[in-house]
Amino acid sequence: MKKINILLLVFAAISFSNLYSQSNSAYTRFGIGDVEYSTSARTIAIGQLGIAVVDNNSISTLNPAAWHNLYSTRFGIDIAYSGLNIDDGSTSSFYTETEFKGFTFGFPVSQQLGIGIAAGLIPYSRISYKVRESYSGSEPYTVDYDGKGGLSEIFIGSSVLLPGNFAFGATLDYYFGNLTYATSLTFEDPSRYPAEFQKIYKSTGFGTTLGLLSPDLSSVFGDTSSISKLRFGAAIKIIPEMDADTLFISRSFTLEDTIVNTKAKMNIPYRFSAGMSFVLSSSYLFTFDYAFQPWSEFKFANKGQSILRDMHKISTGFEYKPGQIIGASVWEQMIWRAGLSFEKTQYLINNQGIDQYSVFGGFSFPLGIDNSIDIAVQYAVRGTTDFGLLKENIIKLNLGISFGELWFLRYDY
Amino acid sequence: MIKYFFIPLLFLFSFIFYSCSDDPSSVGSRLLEQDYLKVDTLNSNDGSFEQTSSYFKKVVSLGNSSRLLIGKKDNLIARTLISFVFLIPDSLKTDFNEGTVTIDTAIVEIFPNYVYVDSLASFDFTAHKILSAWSSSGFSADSFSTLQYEPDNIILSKSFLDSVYQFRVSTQLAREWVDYAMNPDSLTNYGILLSPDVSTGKILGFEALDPFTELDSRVKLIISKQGSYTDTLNGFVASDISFIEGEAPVEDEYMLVQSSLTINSKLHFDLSIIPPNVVINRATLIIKSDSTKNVFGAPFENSLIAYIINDPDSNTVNSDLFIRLTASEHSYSGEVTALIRYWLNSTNYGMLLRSGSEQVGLELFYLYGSNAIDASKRPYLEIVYSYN
Repeated sequence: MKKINILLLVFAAISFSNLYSQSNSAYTRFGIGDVEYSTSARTIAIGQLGIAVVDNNSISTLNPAAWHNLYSTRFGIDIAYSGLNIDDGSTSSFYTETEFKGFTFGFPVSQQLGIGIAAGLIPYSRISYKVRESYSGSEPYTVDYDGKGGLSEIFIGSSVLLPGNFAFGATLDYYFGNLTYATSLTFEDPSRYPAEFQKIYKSTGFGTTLGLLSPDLSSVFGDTSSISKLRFGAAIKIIPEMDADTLFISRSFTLEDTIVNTKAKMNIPYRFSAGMSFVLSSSYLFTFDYAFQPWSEFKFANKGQSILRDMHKISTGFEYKPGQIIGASVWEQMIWRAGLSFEKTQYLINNQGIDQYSVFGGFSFPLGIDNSIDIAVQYAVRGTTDFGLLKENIIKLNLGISFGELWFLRYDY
Repeated sequence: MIKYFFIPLLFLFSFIFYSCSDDPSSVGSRLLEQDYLKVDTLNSNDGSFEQTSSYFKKVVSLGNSSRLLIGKKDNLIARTLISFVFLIPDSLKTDFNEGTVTIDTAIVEIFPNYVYVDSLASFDFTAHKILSAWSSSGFSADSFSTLQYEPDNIILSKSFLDSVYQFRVSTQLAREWVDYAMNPDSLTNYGILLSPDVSTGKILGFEALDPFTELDSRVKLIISKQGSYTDTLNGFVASDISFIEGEAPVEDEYMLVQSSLTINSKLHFDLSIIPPNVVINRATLIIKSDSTKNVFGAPFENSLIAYIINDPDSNTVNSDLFIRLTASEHSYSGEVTALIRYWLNSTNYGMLLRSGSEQVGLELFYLYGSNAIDASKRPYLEIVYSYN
């Protein structure tokens, strides 16, 4: 009953947040917007990647091979608040918004064979900006630039153990979403009719995510070593080609005119991620990850975009997870996390690459066995005020709830 | 534990963030160059639009007019056709059939409501019995040549007051109307023609058939039965229409618009300079008039209506889309954004200018056309538009 109440509250918070969604970065005007790496507060707190991490208490959306160790049915849901201070060198503004980060569901089929099945709905990219510029002259007017939307991903997949205790996982991904860019014009003189121009790209397509995890290689350090659960992992996310219905609409007070209505192809480059993780002294998890996505190969309608470059991201994370102690208080069972990352983002604006530095922190608050509320905080700095660009100070609060139950289990007698 | 800690924390964060959020600002606009909008203004004075204008007379049926016109002014002659109908009780029909009731007097009353132009000018008219059929739905000045009527004036006497014009007609004609009312299948009643006298120097307007007014024309028959009664039998308008004969003045510098005759103008602006896929934010049309030459009656609707021309050959218009141009000092202006938008999305045959009350009066508008010697007096079109 308590879980149901919490879920209801989370859904209420999501609904509440959608009502007040505000604005975000003008950088998201380019490409398909900001790309989401991880939506789970657990993963975000250790630097957003964690490719080689095997966590029984959450469903990884980065590496499906990690599902091989699921031992209970899991459900996770995440939301995020973000605050964004944008500075163009002369003016700064602070904006906030709330995003639904999706949900995941998974269950084990055979622990012996490492078969776990999982599915979910998560965001892949997000466009969100709202900019207002006023113009003087003989016909003073205000222009509002409003970008919103993004791609979402529905996935379903499975994992399996390979010979040598390597784990392999694969998903079938379906991508969908609208990328909407609207520019509206309002004159100071109310006798002038307003105008709005809108570009909408309705995109759909299938893809796949393939992941591989090594077995625990800590034995190479000997039995007496304090290092355990040493794993290497890699994943690749492939979207062969997406269909994009393209709509250009001009809209005035009394007339809506569809200027262009065509179909195009959108090619989103693959994303490759690799990492390693190990546990020190049974309680301290360390992660080191790298991700790469060649956005210079992004094409829309067979045309590349010069304002995009290849994305590189490195991150490292740390997690302290106390051992199971009978009689320990809730506070003594809390899991603490921290992380750092550096990202050469895909944006190449005014011939300047936009880089992002992030620091992360977070914790998991246990709600009994297998259940937790996960909190992650990210502070990031992106861009610069030089070269006509924007410097963004980003603070994000991610909230996730993860439940585990012993459903769908087959008992062998 | 949870509800005391995390749920309040969740909402606390929500409110902190929401309350801190600024209104949209210009920060970031420099990155959105590909979405920039441009606003331009074009007008006909700077030569942006080539324009042409013309005018033509088009005879139309005035059957829907709320006014009957009679008179003569300059080259205009206005005539009216009226037929009356009587509702006769059965008892009275018996008396009429037995010849025991007689019509002592037949008086027609018409109610003036308009004068064009000089109220002090002389006015007189004659009435004639019509011998051929006509219809208020299709009769026009062009039909007049086929209309048959008796040349004799049936008016016995007249009384012209400010509020009502009365004239007596022959009781014999009145009896024909009554007989027709009793035997409509075997008899005919085509009414009377009211035509101005040669001495007339103005045109007057009278209330036309309107089921919602008590002031439309009528006929009163004073009837009596020897030694029994004297009574009044009222006849009401069954059908009426007026028509105007005359030619449009010939002018080079002007576009002419006149009610009832009818004269319409055509005005065309070449909009090809406007780029495709723009949004029209405002389009204003100003047409200047020569107040020294305008000829207006009283009262009148001082406005013009601009219609979209659908067919330039037949000059048919889109009656669903029109703009009223209201009068200001020596000009008529209106916001024609809807017309411009229409033309940018279909073929531009220009606009047709009609009088604001096309079938009611005789107002003659002298509007400076595209050939006006003084270019500043030509029709002025200004378009503000935006594009991506």
